Amino acid sequence: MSESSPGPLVAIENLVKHFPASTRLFARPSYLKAVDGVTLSLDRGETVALVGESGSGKTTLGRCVLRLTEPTSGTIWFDGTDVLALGSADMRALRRRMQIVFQDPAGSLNPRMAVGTAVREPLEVHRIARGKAARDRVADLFEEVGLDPSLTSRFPHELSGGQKQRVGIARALSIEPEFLVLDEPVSALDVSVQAQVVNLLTDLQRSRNLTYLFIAHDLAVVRHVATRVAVMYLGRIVERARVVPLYDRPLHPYTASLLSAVPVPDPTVKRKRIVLAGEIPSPRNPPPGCPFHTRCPHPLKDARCTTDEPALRELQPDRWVACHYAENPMEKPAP
Amino acid sequence: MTALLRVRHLSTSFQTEAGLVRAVDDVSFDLAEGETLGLVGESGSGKTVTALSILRLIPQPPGAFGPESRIEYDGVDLLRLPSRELRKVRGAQIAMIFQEPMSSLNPVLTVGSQISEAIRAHEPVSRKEANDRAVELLDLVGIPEPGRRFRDYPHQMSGGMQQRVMIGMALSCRPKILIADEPTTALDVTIQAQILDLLLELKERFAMSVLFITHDLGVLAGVADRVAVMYGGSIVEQGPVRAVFEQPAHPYTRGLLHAVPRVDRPSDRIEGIPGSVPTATAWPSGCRFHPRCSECMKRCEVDAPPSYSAGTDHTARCWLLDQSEGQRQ
Amino acid sequence: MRRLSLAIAIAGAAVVVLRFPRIMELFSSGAAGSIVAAVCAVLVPPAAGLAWHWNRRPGARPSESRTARLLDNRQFVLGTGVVALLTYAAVIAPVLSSFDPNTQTDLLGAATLAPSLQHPFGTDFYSRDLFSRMLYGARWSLGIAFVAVTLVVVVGTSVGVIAGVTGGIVDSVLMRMVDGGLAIPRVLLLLVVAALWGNLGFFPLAVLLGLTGWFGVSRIIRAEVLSLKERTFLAAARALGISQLRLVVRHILPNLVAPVTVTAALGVGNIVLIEASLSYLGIGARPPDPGWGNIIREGHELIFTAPWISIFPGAAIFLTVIGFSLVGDGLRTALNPRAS
Ligand SMILES: Nc1ncnc2c1ncn2[C@@H]1O[C@H](COP(=O)(O)OP(=O)(O)OP(=O)(O)O)[C@@H](O)[C@H]1O
Ligand SMILES: Nc1ncnc2c1ncn2[C@@H]1O[C@H](COP(=O)(O)OP(=O)(O)OP(=O)(O)O)[C@@H](O)[C@H]1O
Ligand code: SF4
Ligand SMILES: [Mg+2]
Ligand SMILES: [Mg+2]
Repeated sequence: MSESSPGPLVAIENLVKHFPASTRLFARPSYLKAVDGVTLSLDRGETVALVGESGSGKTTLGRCVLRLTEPTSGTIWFDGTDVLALGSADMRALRRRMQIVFQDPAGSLNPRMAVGTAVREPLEVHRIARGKAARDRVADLFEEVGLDPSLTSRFPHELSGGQKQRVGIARALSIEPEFLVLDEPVSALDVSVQAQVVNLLTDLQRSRNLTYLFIAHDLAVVRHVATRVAVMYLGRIVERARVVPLYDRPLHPYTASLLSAVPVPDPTVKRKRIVLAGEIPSPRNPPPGCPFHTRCPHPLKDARCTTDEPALRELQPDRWVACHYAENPMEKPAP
Repeated sequence: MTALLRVRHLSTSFQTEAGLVRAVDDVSFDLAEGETLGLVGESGSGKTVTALSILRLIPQPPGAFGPESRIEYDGVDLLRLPSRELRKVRGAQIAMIFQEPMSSLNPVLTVGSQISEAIRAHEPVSRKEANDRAVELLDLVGIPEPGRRFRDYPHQMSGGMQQRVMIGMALSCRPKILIADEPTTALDVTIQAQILDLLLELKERFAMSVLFITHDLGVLAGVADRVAVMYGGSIVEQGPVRAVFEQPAHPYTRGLLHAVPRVDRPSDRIEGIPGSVPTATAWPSGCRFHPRCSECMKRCEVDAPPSYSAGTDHTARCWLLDQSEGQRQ
Repeated sequence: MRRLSLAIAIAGAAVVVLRFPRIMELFSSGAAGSIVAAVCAVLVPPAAGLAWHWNRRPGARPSESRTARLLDNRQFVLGTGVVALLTYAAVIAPVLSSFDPNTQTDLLGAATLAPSLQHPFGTDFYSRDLFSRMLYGARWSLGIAFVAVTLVVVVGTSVGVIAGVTGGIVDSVLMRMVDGGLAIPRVLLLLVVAALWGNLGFFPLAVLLGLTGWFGVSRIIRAEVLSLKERTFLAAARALGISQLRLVVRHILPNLVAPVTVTAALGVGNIVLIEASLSYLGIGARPPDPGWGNIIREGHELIFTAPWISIFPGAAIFLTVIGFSLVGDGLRTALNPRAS
């Protein structure tokens, strides 16, 4: 392995993933632009959150970074290595350093494999430990993620959702990666358990100096875990900023709408919400111009939005927005 | 306000291979005219079973109601109504929308024909008339181009659109009560906001009472007048929405409120509730929350607490509220 | 399942007691085949008894496991019972019957005798004991089916897994081959082979049946693999840097156990039927050796005067097919992971 180089641990440049989507036999081949030119970097030890509605391409982006899905074009740097240029053997070696925890805790575990075996398998495959030593490691990992080591002989269907997600985390951690893609790790969990898992992830990050790409579909959890946030819409990043400025004053109308759509558990807060009209368009034929213009509530929206695509511009240091009118952001809805 | 629906000592259990599942256990609440009652609880707490019990949609067997159970609508006990009479109540007086819109719509019929069929099931109108009403309903629930979408199949619609269709179908006979079982859980926050607005607007317009089921306290705060918190098959706390959110009396409610990540507050650690939600085949003894409760006392492990008053119209089932023995306060 | 073990134990014990002189006779005969049959006859009752005893202990098995669900499934238990008894009878054939299946005892005096105490299933036109012929015929018919199904499963699964996992050009080529195989009517193919080589003998026939029967299975398995490939846990395994081979062995194959066993169970009945049809057409067992199919064939001319000659093998085929379908259906319900 190369020595740690300075600069970001992961740098994604102009990443594109198009899925072939022609449905009819003799039709012109068409593409579903799931990820369409994303640039994003993660520094060591930080958590970057990726937020957006369903179908905006978050999972696809996360999987591309690990090359579980082969990107159409773009570059991914991991600690100075060009990930997409690696052969399969080198890639397998690199997979020791980057891992993923999946959106669906039940589906990500082999139903026919005891969960202890599932966590032990990567240890043996990568020759980290075997036999008794491996079993001890598994027990330690189980304890680290807050699971009773006696659960190792259980099968996935014998565990609760929260326990399965913890197994998923233990398995990802087993090979001591530096970087973790967390694909909606708590969305499928009960509220009371969700908080436990979020706290577990924060503690692990601190103790192991992990770097997280934290995918979420709303902005509530993100506020408690992320250092920086990237908001995705139709395969593109529309706003990227540090947490505090983003939540204080969203500059993109989509970010503002997402923020105001999250319900707040306080009956006295009668917020004026920005309710977006319509639904996210199909990535099969995204609207021309600004991809968001079909739903944009910005009062200044005009003909330019429907023809010119706004570039992702750096408005303030470390603050990028793709909106023609980002200098005049929408009023934050008054509490 | 008079109670339109009165649920008393509702117990619903299922006989399964794994043993007797006591899904709902001694649940009582009132739903007043024009009121929205929010029923909140985590997965498996018995919310859906409560809703299905009201319309007697529980398959019997394996399901069975306890002998004390009563569900009074308009003075009649729905649990003891002959099924012909019950059918006149279902859909026409009390309508329900389900957790998963996709699986509650028939995939091989157009959405329009499903709505018009729902109308014709209760009213003697011609097919033509029913179809026209169905188009109106699609328009009412905010589906663009209702005349064209009438002929769509469910899979041609997004989740949000399907849920709108479900709402339209539920409203087809102008019911007095609408039971909404997690109508927005499967949807994005942006679409959730649209559907919630739609529901609130329609509720006002048709002066309905709503039993709104959710696991999201945030959603609840925005829609409910009164709140009932479910845990382990029973209602552990119930009261006006402000009272429950501002002075939660049950440790579970308090824990739940702390566990919700808030978008409107700067980041700090969210506190979860230790342990996990118990399963319905093996409820813990005594107070069902006791293994996870930070204020658990000896008696909590043994005896199930009764319902104590915690303020006006505000009750909670927790031994902490018992003042007779002077153990606390 | 407990009752089933008990039933087998009791039936087996009864056989040992009632046929004890015959067992001793077989032991002393010195012929390897006879001794094996005698040993099986003596060993099965205590084995079944032990199985019954173990299952009787409280907490013998976790009530939630797949095995438990399987053993609680009536269809499966009933089917297994039928299949087990038929197989058992075939294995200990010489113990159950003292007659040689091919010996013509008395062509004039003992032909086409109705069932009696001495000949429980009667005799055929050549005065051979039908009960023995049925027992030895079971060895042929069931044996062929077991061998052929093993082949079907091995080849079908391998091709299906290779096509599904590799994808691309390999997949296309294999699947076109399968299409070709499915397009040729199987019986026609077998008839051509028969016309060329006549009666084939046990192994060639079993192999032939096996090699012409795996096309459908490979289709099913490939489809199953493709749907598994979409599942997140395989992406998870790849993300962990697990090699392709290990992925197949540890993650894909175990998830194919259910569909494979179900297809195998249903396949046995199917092959018994095909083999019977072939024997009926004169391609199966080589006379005078018995197979259920050619016993029926020998009886069909006497169907009104000596109906038992056709009825007993017909019933045996029927029982076998039903038994294996019950096993297959039971497996399908019990192994479905969604059921838990
Ligand atoms: N293997 C695939 N083949 C074709 N299209 C795909 C594939 N995977 C994803 N897509 C499409 O790409 C788009 C982005 O999907 P993706 O799963 O990345 O979204 P997401 O943001 O993770 O959504 P969610 O919040 O629902 O998980 C969607 O329109 C989806 O249908
Ligand atoms: N038909 C049934 N047979 C057996 N058990 C059932 C049946 N329906 C529900 N249950 C059980 O009853 C309990 C309560 O289920 P219910 O569906 O009411 O929960 P819920 O509060 O609606 O949860 P969720 O948020 O997951 O929808 C669960 O333990 C469930 O497994
Ligand atoms: S560019 Fe125009 S349409 Fe796009 S977000 Fe800005 S104002 Fe809205
Ligand atoms: Mg996703
Ligand atoms: Mg429910």
